[in-house]
Amino acid sequence: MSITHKFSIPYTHGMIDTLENLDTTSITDVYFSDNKFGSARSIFNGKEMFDELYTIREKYGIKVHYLVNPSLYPNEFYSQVPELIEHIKNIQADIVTLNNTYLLRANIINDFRVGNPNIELKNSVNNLVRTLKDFVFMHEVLHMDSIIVDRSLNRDLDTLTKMSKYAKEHGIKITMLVNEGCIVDCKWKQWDDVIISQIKFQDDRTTTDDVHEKLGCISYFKNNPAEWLKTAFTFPNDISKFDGLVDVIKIAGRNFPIDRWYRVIDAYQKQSGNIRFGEILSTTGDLKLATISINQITDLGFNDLTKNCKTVCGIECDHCDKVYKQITRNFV
Amino acid sequence: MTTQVSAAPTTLAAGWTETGLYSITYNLASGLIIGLYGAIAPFVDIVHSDTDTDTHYLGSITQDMYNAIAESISNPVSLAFWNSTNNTLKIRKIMVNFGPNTYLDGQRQCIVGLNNTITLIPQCVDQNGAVWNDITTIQIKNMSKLDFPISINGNPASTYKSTCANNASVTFALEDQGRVTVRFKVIIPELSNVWLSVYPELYAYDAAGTAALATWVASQPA
Repeated sequence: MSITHKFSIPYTHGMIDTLENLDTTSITDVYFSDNKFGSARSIFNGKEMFDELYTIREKYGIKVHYLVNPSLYPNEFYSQVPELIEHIKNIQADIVTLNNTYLLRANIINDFRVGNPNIELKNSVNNLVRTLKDFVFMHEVLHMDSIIVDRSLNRDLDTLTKMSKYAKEHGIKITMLVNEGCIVDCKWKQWDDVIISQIKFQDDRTTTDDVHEKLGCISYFKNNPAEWLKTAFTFPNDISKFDGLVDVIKIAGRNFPIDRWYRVIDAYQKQSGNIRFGEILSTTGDLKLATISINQITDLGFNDLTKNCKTVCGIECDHCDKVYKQITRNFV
Repeated sequence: MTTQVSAAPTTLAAGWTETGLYSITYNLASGLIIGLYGAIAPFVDIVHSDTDTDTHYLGSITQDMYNAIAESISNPVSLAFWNSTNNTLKIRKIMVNFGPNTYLDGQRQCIVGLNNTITLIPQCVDQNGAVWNDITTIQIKNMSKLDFPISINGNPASTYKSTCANNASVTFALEDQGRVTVRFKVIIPELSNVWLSVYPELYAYDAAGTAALATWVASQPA
């Protein structure tokens, strides 16, 4: 029998009309950014977005979760911190994700609490909390009681179990981002994050999009299709592996079209494998793989064999390559 | 960074027209069709020995045939393959019909049954829905194994795998509450390493839900 999980879901324009078809009782919060302090500032929805978020909170009790997660802060940002504190108070955020470790060490949560005594503060997944040592550091040095762990933990239950034990002893909540599909220790990630941090609303991003598509992970996955299977994710029909280890499951998909947004969240809530691989992940790859259903993949033992991945692909393990050949019927 | 999943595979022609001419690419070892293209003129078969594929000219095809091949390329419940011995196209799909006292719960989008007993009739069919008699065995599996016990055709729930004949009824007595996925799978006789599978999702109600379904069933016209 399945356990009800708690989900942190992405904001997508118009979600309020679709939300009633999902299990709203299991959704803790909707996360979003704006063009003031967030990353991905090309996504600008203004007053309309906030009206939607506040209505959702009032109707369903789903919290408003503000992201402050650019990977690059200009010098002038540090003189704008009082403005950030004021902004978080003004937008009535219930949860804030903040990746700036200087501000975390300064215990900025105390300033946020002036505006909202019950506010929750999380680090960003981009803080790369990958080891038990990282996890302890986040708590002891950066004062975090709600920690988003690194993507790689999707395939490292041994380390996650150690973190969970420490978390229970110290009253810490763990959040896991399950469907981004980024390469573990990706060598493009820092540059992607810098690009995302710098994008502003209505920017011409033709050149950067071109660079990303031709020289980053998109073309890499298309040229090496099985590599997409080796990225960090957990399938909807495998999230029970987090029972007792993870408090909140975070779902990526801030700019998914509303139909896709619904199908992805619905699949995770139902723990259903009847959804296509390419639909759930934020990354883009081989089309043949994208159209395969998750059930087809997990039927080959994929979930069991990736619970403690040692990332020794191509040298000591070729499981994902074999799965790719099987599911795409690529027999020669 | 996020981009969108493309709407259609690049191995498909743009679309069907009545006067359009088409060709297929298929794997020489398996016969599996892996591409469907528009063709401007007839040409002889081209064998690509480096990739073990053959490009074969079909000419005009019906819209149903086009859709069936296109679905096969992008959907695992359907399979189109080329028999190069007699130059015939075979299309097979796996589907599931409902047996007695079995219904679709529209809210949960899953299959339910009276007293949490569900009857399904798996079939391997062609593009017209006709059952393929050369497929005699359909494999059955409870995807949750022992985590969600199901008695399949009256067998102990510990036996989470079973088989049935093509187009035969299969009963699933769900022994827990909640959602569970089962699998029907067929191996294509000519192609021992190619299979078709479909994954129906079943749901077992709690006591209140079971009673509500029984009341609803009793209220339906005979």
